[in-house]
Amino acid sequence: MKVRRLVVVLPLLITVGCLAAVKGVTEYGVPAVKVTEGVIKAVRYCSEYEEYYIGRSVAARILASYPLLDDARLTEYVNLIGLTVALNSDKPWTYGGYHFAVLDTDEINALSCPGGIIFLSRGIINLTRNEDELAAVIAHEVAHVNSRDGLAAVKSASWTRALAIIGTAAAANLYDSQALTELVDLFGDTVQDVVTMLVVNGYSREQERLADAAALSYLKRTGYRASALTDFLKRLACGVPAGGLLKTHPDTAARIKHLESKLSQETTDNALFDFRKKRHDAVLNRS
Amino acid sequence: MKGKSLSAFLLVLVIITIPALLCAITAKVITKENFIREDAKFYSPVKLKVQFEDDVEILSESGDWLKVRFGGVEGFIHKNAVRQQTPLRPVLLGSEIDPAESDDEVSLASKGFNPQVEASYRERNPDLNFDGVDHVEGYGVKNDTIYKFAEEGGLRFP
Repeated sequence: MKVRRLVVVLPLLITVGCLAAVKGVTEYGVPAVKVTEGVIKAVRYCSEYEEYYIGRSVAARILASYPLLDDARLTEYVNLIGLTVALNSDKPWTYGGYHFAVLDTDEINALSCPGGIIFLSRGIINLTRNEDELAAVIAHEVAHVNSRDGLAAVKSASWTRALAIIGTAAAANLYDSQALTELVDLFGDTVQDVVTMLVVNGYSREQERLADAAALSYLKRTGYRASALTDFLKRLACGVPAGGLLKTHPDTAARIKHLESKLSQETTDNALFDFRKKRHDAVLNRS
Repeated sequence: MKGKSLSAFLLVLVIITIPALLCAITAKVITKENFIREDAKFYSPVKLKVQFEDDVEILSESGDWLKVRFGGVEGFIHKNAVRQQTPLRPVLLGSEIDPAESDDEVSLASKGFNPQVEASYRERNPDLNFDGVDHVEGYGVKNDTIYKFAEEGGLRFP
């Protein structure tokens, strides 16, 4: 009798055990075994949650140097264009969402912080001749956020160090003061790496080329003239000292040529273009 | 007798396996907050607000949108706002581990840089303008306003 029961119960236990193993996943659906493998991996990638906090601190550094422009109408206008473009981009949502703001400086610059905060200088906005050009500048920055280009500045050694600290702390379920100190050091280095790239070194040419191509796509999807990007770059190429969008590109002519090869014949509604230009001029007090 | 035992085993196996096979496919919200909408459009009315890490049940897929259920409410959420859980295939020996699975899935869960770290960093760097960042993030534009803006300018509001 006992043997018979065993015949029934044993397979049952094995089955339940196997099914329990299938359920043995983390809250993110990652099998527990894989997490262990992940912890010992040499290279660690940044989650969007962490990217958000890095981006906030990058933005805080930028805002320590450049004040925000106190112009509610322009800020709303830039946000309306930016959010419309972002919704038509490859990544309509980020963890903290997209936020657009204007820096009160004559410098010609546009900066995208990891996670979705995008700054445009008053100088670069004043250089745009119509809404489609302003949308083109914004689309280029949204493309950098979509591709998480800012994080490329962070040295892989930093991720490895972070992994070690976080792995140890996770076991204890909280950061003790030593782990926190080390992690904050690392966080500071990471933020600095990104700021240095955004403000001093700029993105790589390849990142810029890809951001240009993505921007064209977003502009088309949104309904703006894709040629607005090349129109704007051509004007900037005529010797205007610029950061961000043009920082790493002395060879802007090659960049424009590359973009023009991607531009197809556009069929645009001139009346709508004129309407958009008028509201652009009105917001910028050019009427 | 052996036949009865085998039947009993198979019956138990079926009882346990079928619910496992039918278990709901879920997705986790990966943005700070998001919305379940009436239709698969950004301008569609919001039925329910969801928060980071809420688990929504996926009912079906429609282009870039998912039809989901959460808290008894059914509606649509954009694919980009959620991360689908790794589908589980019941196996008889060991848990499912797909070697082709993306490595960075592990990092999706990482919260190493978090509010606690930011707070300490902020304390160390009082010159940084976090109030300005909060101001920028707090700036909101209503969906209706974006829709009107897009419509008037002949722009696409997906």
